[in-house]
Amino acid sequence: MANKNGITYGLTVLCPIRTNMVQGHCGVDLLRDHLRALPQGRKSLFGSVPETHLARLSIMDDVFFEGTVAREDNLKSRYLWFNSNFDGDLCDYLDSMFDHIPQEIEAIWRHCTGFPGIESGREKWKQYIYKCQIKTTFFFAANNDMTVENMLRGLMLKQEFSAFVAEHQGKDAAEIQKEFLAFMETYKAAPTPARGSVTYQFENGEV
Amino acid sequence: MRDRVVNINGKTYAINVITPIKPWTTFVQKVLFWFVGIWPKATERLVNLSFIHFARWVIIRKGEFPHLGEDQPREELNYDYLLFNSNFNGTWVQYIDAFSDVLPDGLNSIWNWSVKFPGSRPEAPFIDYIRHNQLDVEYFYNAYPGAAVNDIKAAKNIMAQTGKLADEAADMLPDDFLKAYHKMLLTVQKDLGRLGVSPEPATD
Repeated sequence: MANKNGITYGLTVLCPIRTNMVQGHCGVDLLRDHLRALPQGRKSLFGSVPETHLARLSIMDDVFFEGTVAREDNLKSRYLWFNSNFDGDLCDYLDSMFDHIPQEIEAIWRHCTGFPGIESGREKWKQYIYKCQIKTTFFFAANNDMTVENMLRGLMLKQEFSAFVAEHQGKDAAEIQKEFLAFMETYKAAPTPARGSVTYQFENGEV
Repeated sequence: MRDRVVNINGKTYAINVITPIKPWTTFVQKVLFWFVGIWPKATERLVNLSFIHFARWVIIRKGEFPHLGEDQPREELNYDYLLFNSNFNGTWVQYIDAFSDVLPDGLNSIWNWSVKFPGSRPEAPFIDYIRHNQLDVEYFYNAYPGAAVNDIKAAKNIMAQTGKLADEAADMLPDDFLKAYHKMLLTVQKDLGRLGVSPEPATD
């Protein structure tokens, strides 16, 4: 199935954008302004949807003309182009979006034709996305057997273990053994780093 | 002018490219992608490039643009379209350079079907072609902006090796543990090191 590679799903969605005016403003401009103002880092929109590795929202105003000899195409609608790379299956992911970011979904997709509104329920939301989904032809994932959670915990371990090795060079065997076991217990108990953050450390900062 | 570079989040750049393809070549291209999908050796070089988190190619036929109601006009297009998305570490030019240098045949097999594709070599026309057909991102989310693909591969190996030693360490005599610990360090030494800070964003 081309939409999946290992445990990772590659979603491509094209949602036609409404052409109506809202309080004197063009809907597509309002949508563009809204997307550009969305928070980054730990407060990122998709940080609340734990399965998401990378996601992006773009606006396709038109297709590109390749110059003479080529025929000129122009789109009759503008499209919200939504891409996401996430763990698991699409049905569960759309449920997760619906559960974790319903207001954000409404704020973005209310500008799109045919969007039923969050108040219509999760099944309508899912049916709407299915209608707008374009099947992936070929999907490549470099690390297709690790969830977001695994990756963040692994990055935390890499950071902390690198420091541990440097600090314990030359110490005697019994001490390294004792402290290695304590280090691994600390790692197991440590909370997973926040999604969207660039800090991958044990929360207490010590071993 | 936009006040921030939205194609970049941390160590990762997001690229969108849209190119028209002649409809009578779409079937051939789909067969080629299918073949690449079932033959792992075909993606070996892509894996070895080791700076692409995710990449995808999506062919949309001219009649397949979503149509959701009578108030939305139907598209009337001459061409099918190839949508390309990639998330990679490094700068735009480094990426296109590496793609062009390492995968020239692969690139040609993919984009030769696109209208007025100049070929992946020489590089300058290829860069101009990609730049012409690139669409900027409005919002880009990255769950691990501080990590490159190789950081994640390294983390995976460290997780496996330390976990294995931790399972056995409590029952070992200290000298046996130290030997096992040093042996484990040999297997992860290339993966150690802190992640550091992301490079300054660059659009080119």
